[in-house]
Amino acid sequence: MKQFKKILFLAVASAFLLTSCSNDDDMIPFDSEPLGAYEDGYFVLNEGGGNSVTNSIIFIGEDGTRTDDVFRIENPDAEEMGIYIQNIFFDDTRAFIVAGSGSVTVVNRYTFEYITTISTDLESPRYGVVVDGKAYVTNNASFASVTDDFLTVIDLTNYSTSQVLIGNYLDRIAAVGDKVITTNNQYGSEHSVSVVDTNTLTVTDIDLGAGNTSNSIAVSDDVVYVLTGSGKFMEIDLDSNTVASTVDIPATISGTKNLNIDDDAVYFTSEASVYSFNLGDTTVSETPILTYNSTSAYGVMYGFAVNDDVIYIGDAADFASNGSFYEYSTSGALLSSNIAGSAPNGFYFN
Amino acid sequence: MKKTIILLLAVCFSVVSFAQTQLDSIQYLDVIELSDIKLKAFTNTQTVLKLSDSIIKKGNPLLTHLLNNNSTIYFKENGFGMVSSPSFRGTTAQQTAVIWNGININSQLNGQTDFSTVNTKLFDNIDVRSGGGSVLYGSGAIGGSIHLNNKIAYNNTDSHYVGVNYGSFNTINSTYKGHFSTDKLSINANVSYLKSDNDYDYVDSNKSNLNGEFYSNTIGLNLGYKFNDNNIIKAYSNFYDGQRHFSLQLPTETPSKYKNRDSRNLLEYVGLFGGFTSKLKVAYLTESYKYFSNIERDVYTDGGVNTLILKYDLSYKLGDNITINPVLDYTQNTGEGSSISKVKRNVTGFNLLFKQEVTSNFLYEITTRQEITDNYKSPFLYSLGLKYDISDAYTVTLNGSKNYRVPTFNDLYWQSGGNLDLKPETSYQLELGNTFTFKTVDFSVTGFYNDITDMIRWLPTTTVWRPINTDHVKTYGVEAQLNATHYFGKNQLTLTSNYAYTISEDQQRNAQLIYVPYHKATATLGYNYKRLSAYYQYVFVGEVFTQSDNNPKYNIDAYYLSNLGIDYTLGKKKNITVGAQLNNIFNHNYQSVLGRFMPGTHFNTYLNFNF
Repeated sequence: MKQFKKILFLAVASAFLLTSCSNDDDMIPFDSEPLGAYEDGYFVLNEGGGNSVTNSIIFIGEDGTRTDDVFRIENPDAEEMGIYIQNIFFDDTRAFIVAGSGSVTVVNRYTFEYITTISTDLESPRYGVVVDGKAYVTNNASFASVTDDFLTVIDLTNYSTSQVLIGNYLDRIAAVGDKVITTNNQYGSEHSVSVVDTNTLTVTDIDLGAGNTSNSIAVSDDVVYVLTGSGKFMEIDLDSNTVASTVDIPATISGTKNLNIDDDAVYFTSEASVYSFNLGDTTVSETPILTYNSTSAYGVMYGFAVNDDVIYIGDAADFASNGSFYEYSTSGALLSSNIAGSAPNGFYFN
Repeated sequence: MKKTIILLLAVCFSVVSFAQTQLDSIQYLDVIELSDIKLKAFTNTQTVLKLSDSIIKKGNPLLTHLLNNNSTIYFKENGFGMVSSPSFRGTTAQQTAVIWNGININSQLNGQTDFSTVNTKLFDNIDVRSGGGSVLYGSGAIGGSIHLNNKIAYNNTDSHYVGVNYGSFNTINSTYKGHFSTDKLSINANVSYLKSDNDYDYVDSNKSNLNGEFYSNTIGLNLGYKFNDNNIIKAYSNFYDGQRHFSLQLPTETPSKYKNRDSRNLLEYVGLFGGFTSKLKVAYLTESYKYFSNIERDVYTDGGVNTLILKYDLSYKLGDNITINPVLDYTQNTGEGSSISKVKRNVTGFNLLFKQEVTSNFLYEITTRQEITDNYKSPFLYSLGLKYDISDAYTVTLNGSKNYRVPTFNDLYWQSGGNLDLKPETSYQLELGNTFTFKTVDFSVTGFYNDITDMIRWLPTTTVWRPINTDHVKTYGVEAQLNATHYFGKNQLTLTSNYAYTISEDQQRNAQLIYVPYHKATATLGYNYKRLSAYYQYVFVGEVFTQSDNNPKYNIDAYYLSNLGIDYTLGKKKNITVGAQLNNIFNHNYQSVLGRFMPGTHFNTYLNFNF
């Protein structure tokens, strides 16, 4: 019995020792402090209804732990983020949260600690991107006018702002080198993308052809691609400002949107299905890689992203209650099913 | 003068029973004075709450505040003076009809009335009619209808009324009402101006209401001419012009503003021949708005609809107890706007109304309507009501009806998204009313049930938002009214109170509709002593859901408001009244729409001058 106790003690002691050793071992190679509670994982952006109260940002850590309403937890006394939260974009250390009501809230990307709110030169802002210390944000301005749409340029050293007038109902935006490219008029008759040289702020429109309204944009290996609702996947040549190549998606797949490129595979959606083909392919299979069940007839695929071989889908339900979000493998296997906030419209990765 | 007419008429018709005579003569008078006679003639089996001009003359002129304080209708108000929409008996904003002198004035564009754009001061009385009334009052009379009435009296008098109000947030309201009449001619001219900086501080916060200022002008002219006792011509008109800046929820929002202009004109000929009352009405209504999404820019979206209504209404009294009333009407709406290309809609309708007073204590009324239009599939509408006086003190009413809310111009023709295949929303309803009348106390309890199908909701499809006939809602509940008067010496105490318990259940989600409270109550205790009068008013609005799944996280808490008012009448002829009101005396912090805070304690003072 005594012997047994001794062995037990040894076992327990060594367990403690070993554990602490292994902890020390883990710590030694990392000489940098952790960047913050939200360093590893992704954010789910919930747009909210017509008020500043129902929007929220959910964080899902790499280990699957979930934190609801990250912004308000970290910043209980900060100004609200705005109404209809549209987009988050990043630079190395900061996250920029775009609200359709006319503001960009700046927080630390990893701790989500509030830094400031920018509200000048913004009118119905949509999406943003950072190039060389400056942020470029698309604005619809007045919905009554197609000529007043503009780009906000934000100097990220002092958050001062200015405007570049473009027109064309600007929507999504992406950056390649020192150029930014916008998709124009997601819902209407406009059929161009605009290219802005960030050094000279000169604007060049590239015509995609009648009926080809682009609704999403992706960059892979410094090449920019757009997808139109009419089923055209186009590569844009930024040297000649022309459409370099077009892949026609079969007409049986209608209302194509949500272009994403991950690891040389192209993903897009139509209704509740996700389709995929490889960069370089000239034909697209009519067979989806997955179709998810939606209880919502109209909030299907409200948010969509593909990152490191995981497909993320946001479903907005009836836009007046909690939506859902799902993780799928690229072979179409459901990995997780979760309750979202109100109208989940995007996924952003740390 | 009015009493004299009633007496004279009573003498004339002395052959029939006295009670009957009085009823008839009142109706005869109404034919002469009021345009909305159906409110009397065919509303015997539903509850009508009457708000007299003495209530209207006190306080601010917005219809939304008058009704929020005095009825069980729930209002969703985007901040003080901002867009305000009703929920009557648990229904949606498009399911309450607003009736101006008998004509439905809900917007043809969005199907509802913004209750912050109606200035009540120009009306002689306002009635709240609970329950279905689509046969008589058209689209939207599902939860109930609000009746804005002007009287045209021929009483040989000249009178002028000037009311001046000044209150918190630099709110100014001035009203003039002039009346000139002989025994043949009646001229009534009304003007009211309202403006407010509306920059109140939020309670328990260092923030304040930004970009909330508004103003409006309302003009009314109502004329009547009696060629003789049997041929009368009347003209009513009302013109509203207003601008509101829409208040911000957050300082970072882009400030916007909204201008709207409405005109309403009604010409009516009344002929009385034997048992026949013949009415020919021509109405022309216009509505238009301009919305500036950024007050700094001169860019706006706009829309407008002009409406022409022709109506022939023939009422026939068959003997003493039966009324038969066919009505033929034609409506043409012409709409146009930034998102609606010019479009016309024609509706022809035929009503047949029937009422029989079977015995002195039992009557029934039947109303039916069929429309012909190619814009939507129009259902056959009807109502059947019974009224039985069980004793002098106790009356039972029963009413069942089928009602509708037609698709609006926006629903049908909006580009892009308008859906030409929409059906009207339809409602089947049933209500049972019990009224108890004692000497100084009356009490009523009404139970109602309302099954509404094909409710239209705008939903995002793959490319655009579109309206769809989707929801099925059942609303049911109980309404109660208690009114009492008590005298002691020269003191008079009055109590008017309302309570409603409302379930409004979405049948797909099995959840209460958003922005419909289970409970709402109002009570006003009034006190009068000679020239002094005072009141204490209490309004309770229960908790509401703002999420369709009834997620309690975003509920708006119940709120209560307590208001105090006092006034004193001066002058030998008692022609000057000075008064003051203190609203929300406990400085309660409340919202009626999520994220939009309402004012704390605020005051209003007024001077009413009659000469």
